[in-house]
Amino acid sequence: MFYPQEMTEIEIIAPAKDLIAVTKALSGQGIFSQTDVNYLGTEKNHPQANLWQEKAAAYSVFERRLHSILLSLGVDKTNPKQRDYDTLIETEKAKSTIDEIEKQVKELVDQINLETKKIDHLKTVLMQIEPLSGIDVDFSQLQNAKYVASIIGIIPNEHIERLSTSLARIPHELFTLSQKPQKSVVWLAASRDNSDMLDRAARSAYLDPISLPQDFKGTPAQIVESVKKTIQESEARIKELKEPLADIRKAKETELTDLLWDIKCSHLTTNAILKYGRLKYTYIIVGWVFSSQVENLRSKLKAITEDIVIETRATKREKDSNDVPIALSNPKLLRPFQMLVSNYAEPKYGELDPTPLVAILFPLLFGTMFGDVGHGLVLAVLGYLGMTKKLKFMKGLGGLNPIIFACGIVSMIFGFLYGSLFGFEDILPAIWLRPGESIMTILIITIVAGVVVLSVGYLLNIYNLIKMKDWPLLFFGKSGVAGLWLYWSIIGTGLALVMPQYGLPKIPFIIATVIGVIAIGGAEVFIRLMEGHRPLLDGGIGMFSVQVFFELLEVFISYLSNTLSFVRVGAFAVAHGNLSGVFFILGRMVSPSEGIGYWIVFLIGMVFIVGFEGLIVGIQTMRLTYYEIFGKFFNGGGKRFEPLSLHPAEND
Amino acid sequence: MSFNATSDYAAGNARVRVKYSTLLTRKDFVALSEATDLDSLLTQLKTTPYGAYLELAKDKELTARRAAFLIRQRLSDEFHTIINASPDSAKNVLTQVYRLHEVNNLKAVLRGIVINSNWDKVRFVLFPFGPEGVLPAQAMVESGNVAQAVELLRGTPYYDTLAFAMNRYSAEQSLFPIEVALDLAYWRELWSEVKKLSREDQDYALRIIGSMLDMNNLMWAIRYSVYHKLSEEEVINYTLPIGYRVHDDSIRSIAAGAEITHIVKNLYPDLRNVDDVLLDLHTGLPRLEMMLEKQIAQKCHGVFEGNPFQIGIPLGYLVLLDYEIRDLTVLIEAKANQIPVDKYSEFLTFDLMK
Repeated sequence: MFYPQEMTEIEIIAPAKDLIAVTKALSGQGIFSQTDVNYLGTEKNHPQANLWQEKAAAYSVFERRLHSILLSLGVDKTNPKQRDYDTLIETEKAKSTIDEIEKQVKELVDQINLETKKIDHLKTVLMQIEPLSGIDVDFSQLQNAKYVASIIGIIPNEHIERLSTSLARIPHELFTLSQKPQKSVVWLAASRDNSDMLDRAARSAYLDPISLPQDFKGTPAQIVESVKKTIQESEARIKELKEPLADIRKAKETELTDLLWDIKCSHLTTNAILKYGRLKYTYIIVGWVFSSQVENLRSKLKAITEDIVIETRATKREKDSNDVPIALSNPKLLRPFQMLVSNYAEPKYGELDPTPLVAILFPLLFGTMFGDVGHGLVLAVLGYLGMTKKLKFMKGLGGLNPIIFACGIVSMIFGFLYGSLFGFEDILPAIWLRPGESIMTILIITIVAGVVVLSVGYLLNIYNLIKMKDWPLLFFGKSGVAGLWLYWSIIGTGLALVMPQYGLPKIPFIIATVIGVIAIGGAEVFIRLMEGHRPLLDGGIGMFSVQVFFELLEVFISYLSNTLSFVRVGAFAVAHGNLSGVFFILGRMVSPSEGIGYWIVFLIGMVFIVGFEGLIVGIQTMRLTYYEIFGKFFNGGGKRFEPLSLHPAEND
Repeated sequence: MSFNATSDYAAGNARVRVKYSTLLTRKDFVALSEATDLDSLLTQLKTTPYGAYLELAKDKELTARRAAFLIRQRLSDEFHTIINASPDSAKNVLTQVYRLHEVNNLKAVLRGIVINSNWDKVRFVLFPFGPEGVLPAQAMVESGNVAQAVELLRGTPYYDTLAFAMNRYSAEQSLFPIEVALDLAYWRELWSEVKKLSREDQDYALRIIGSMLDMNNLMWAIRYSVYHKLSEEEVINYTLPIGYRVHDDSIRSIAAGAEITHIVKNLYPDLRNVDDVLLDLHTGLPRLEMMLEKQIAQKCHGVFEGNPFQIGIPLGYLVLLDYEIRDLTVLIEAKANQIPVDKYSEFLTFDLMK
């Protein structure tokens, strides 16, 4: 739970005859992530060298054609019926079935497409001509003029000036008839002697001529009318053509979806095989498998054939184990928070999975800022309805619903602590304090909480570095021992100087701060020293000094900003109560006797607070989690475990 | 130098200066070029900052193609780090500079589609652009059709440009108009971002970006005239009216058929042997391009002298790193194919023969 799942690298040498069965076993359980090792192939003259490539290409084409047919028939192609399979579908068989159905469908679809294209074209013509309706000139006469060659068309705005420049050496006219933000309708004209040049210039300036069908003649207004009539005729024709298509769909839908599933399976299998290394009589398969599943997979593969060689290599959690795919394994309760972690980054193999920490801190920080029994209850109910898919608009939030539910529950707990119910602060007693009445107390408490959370972040990073045996960064990294030392030394020095009443010793803290500054400032040198890299300094002492100055400045600023960042937690707790108060005041302005108007404003306020303030508090919580907490110990950059799966629906 | 510029660039540029010191030195390059084969080149390269990237692949997997792919990740990482540490005004320009790699990826994807290549082949020629990229590259390649691939770009900054160019593609079945449209739109956008910078930053940015745009614009004009034999009006429409040192009248002169050597000498009086280099335009043009790139590299080094709080520093470093990675790719390819140094040195921005 605290680390990504343990992985084992597996190398399999499988006989060619058992290839499909082995691939099926590897892909059946979602426990194997494949590595592309097709470069390991040594047998370029092997008779099957191009076989899989050709099959994969053929299946890809079939899949595309079948999708296209299903789309034409209006069948939901995303839900093919899933069935078991043992062999690849024969390409010839698939081809003949697809050819036959395609032939029937294609003729109708081609006619529909023709009519649709005609409509699209006419609509484009309409769009281009309509703005010119006020021009009382016969376009066909203009285009067939004896001495003047002209083009009416659409051109990207930025090309207009260049077009004019390109024709500078011949007499020409370029009028902008209408202009939109991206493109303009222009009329370009020159002497008919120069018509070739005019065409070349127009084409190279991406001027797209408006081609008026021969049937349309007259002024723009007359053309608009004729075009609209033709569009209506084409739409009626399309309606007629769709009827036989519906009949085909009724007769062939099941056959086609079954075929699609078979082709999908065959395509995915051949794609997987393409990534195997190919020897003369065997194939090399390399990938990663969950360590806990190695024996299970081994027995499944051995059951297929005894002639299979399986070699496994367990992987240590080290800092350079970057190529190990990452699969997080948290209990079901924590899994929604896993999404927040993955959204930031996948942890590296040797790195702590921050999901358990996020599962505690995220609702806690949210609840502190949004502490109200009533508003929390609304959030919890909304989250619950979203989780159980009973509320349509919450269903869209998917994996966020459990987080909303947890945040709502913790908000209710803090509501009891603050004594706040839908913003009313005189109904429930405050078990702990009322933020609005103890502003300084809550701000100080949140800063102290921030110091604790950040220190936990530093400690987790130190633990990570110990596990990864990254000693230089452990001792001298900004988020290592030196970073934590300096952070605590500065806090100690600050408290000793500003609050003498607590009797903290100044001198030891100041000395500790100086040691911390030396450790962080000289970190680059110390790290190079420990790693045995020479020279210790790049770019001379001058450059080093500048760099150290800015590094330290950045460290001090980040300590201050990271710590003070937690003030927002207290500030939001105070603001929450006051925001509710604002709606009570507005309600009394609408209805001084606290009648129906008052309660309408109260409801609007509640929607605003739960929706808008809830969103802002959520964003702030995410910011604190990602930047202030993750920034200390979580680097991420791991590669997600992508299992080989022949069942795309399950994979999703 | 304003107070704002000082506070904006202080920390970020200090870091860039440290990174600048990690660029390979002449000694490193000479040592690398003396490597006997690909394996020894990669062994040496592992002792440099590229080591961490090459370590991502096992030794037995480290082919020339894989190595070239892996070292590009460093540029991607550096762009991310530097863009994040830059002030907002510089961020837009640096991001736009970074997008050049996405534009190149887009072109590579479209070429892949046209030659019916599959995703496994195309993916390794793409720059590892990172999560902010907007190209659904795999889906585009798998669509197998340029028009469908372009439709997948709806809602991205490339769609409008491509929508216009697609009319040409449909008629001519050539990617040329698409690639030209992408280039023109990219450089116009970059230029407009540079123009939004403060006056001082603009000055530094133009030294580098302006010089790059000049080089491209000049090369386009010459190539379209000489190689593609395009007409004057086409050359003008396929080039940009903006520039730092190369102005529109020069481009228009080239388009009109003026003598190219004379124009290049006027534009770049400090370039040596222009007559010899351009004696045969077909072979001389790549050499002229390398000469101009070397000048840009010098300008990039130049911005590290003087005012330390300006955009030239991150920009110069990133361009130099880009050139360095390109040079290393040439070295890797050369060693993998056992090409002698005198055959490939002219394709290096870093001059080994000096």
